[in-house]
Amino acid sequence: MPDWNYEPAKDLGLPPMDRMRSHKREAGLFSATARLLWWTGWAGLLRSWNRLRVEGREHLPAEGSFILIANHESHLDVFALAAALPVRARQRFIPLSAEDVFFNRPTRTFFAAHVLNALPVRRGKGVRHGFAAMRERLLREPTVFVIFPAGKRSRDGGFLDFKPGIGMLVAGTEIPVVPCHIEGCFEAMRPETVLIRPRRITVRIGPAHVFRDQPDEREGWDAIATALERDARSLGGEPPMA
Amino acid sequence: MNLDEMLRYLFTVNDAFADPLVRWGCLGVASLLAVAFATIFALRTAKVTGPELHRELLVRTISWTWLVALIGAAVLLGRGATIIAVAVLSLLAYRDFARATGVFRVRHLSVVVTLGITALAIAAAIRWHRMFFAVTPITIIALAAVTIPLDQPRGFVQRVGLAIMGFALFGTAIGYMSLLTDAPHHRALLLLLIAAVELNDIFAFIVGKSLKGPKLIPNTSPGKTISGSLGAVALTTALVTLLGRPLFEGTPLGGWGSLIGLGVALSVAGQLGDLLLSSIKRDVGIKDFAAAIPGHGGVLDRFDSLVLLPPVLYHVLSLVNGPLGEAAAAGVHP
Repeated sequence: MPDWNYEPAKDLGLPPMDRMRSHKREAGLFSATARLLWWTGWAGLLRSWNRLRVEGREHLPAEGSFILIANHESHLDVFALAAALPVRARQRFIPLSAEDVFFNRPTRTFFAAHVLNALPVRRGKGVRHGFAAMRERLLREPTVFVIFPAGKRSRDGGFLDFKPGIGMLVAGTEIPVVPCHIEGCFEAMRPETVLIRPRRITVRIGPAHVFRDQPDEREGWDAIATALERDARSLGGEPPMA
Repeated sequence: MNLDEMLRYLFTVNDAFADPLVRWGCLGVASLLAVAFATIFALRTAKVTGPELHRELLVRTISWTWLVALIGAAVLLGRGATIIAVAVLSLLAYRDFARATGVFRVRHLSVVVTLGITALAIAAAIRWHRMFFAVTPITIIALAAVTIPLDQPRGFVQRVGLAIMGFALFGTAIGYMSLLTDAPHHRALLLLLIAAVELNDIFAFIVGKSLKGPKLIPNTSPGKTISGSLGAVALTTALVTLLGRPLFEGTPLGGWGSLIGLGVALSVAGQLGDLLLSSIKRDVGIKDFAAAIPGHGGVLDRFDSLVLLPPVLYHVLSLVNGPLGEAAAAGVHP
């Protein structure tokens, strides 16, 4: 009789805290339900309270991995992008979150891993180190990453320049990158407040790029960041780059 | 039984230590832990154990203390707490099994198993034992059927087989413990069950290490010896006989012969559970199910010996001493 084909969880044997931080993490029923309720609940809120409008949904790849990139002006941005996804893609949705904020304490780590379905990224020096694991995950299983290439939140609502980090992740790969523009999140939730005001939010989604032919070096990284920034700006009718 | 009576039945806490058997049981477990800590530190002071072994022993025993506290709370805080704890243990054990074999990726099956375990707990809580025994076949039918609409016949036998096995072992078999809350002296009975299981492991380990000799089944579990296995049967039977004597006094199970039979059955079922989980781990090719409990591995690595025992104890009780649950409440006897 031939052997059965067991495929243990990829994160099997990791101690709980390491497991929650690992890119090999695989969700069970509990976290899958928690994250679906969380993101769908927010989608409902944004749709009713903020009259969320999504344009260009047809540009989202139907299956497989892809990366959403957008301008970053508010904590609401990530919820707006999650809400723009169809429910099936929401199951694969992984916000990449700052390790020093979301993964620094046990309760936060638990929340980030099981409810947000977030994965940690190191900011500053260690950032390149995490790219290999992220790329591996994108190629291994259907995953939707959200990345704000500016690297930080704009505090005045202005469009911040994209950094070449996104290029380091996707140069020379088949991973589609979908440029988006988010409008209204800054007005709906300003940096200094926790209140959400009923301002309309609009997410505009542009056609996906694949950077298969870009060299995985400085020149390619810069070209990728420039191309994506140009798309995101033109989607939102923002002034072109300086 | 009306709702008021049922809530009182499930959540009465102030009688926790009314039973002298429970008082002595708790005292016994607490002194065992104290002796374990004293021994560990004495061995270190006498330089018998090196720093590394000392640390490992300490980590294991601290984990044990937490487990004992959790189990103690679950048993002492009333039948409701016991039933909830059993359901949680079932879910965690199934989770370890499902993650090791990969069947956790089929969400439909996880949902059905979770519903099945919940239904078992509810049936036990409302003392509807016929319902409890109906849940297992119904869940098996649901597990067999639920992935048909996916229209993915590849791997069908494997995923359904794994889910049914997982539910039978970790849902139903572990779930029997919540039925045991209906037995007379249920707190003392559950404490005896868990003490017998864990000491059975320790007896096998100690006797095996001191007598050595031929291996029991080297391909499945290279550490186990025949001497350890037989030693555990002897010692656990002695323990169950001595502790069971006051517990079952005045019932058909209270005679020496029946008690020895029960002791042997519990010891053998405990060792079989251990070897069953070892066989699964060997087949899948993993060492531990998880790393949730420091020094022990996963939940299923710690409670492996417990898995097969509850049905044995329940059915011995109900067949020898008479039915439990609604039949007993209604005054029906065999």
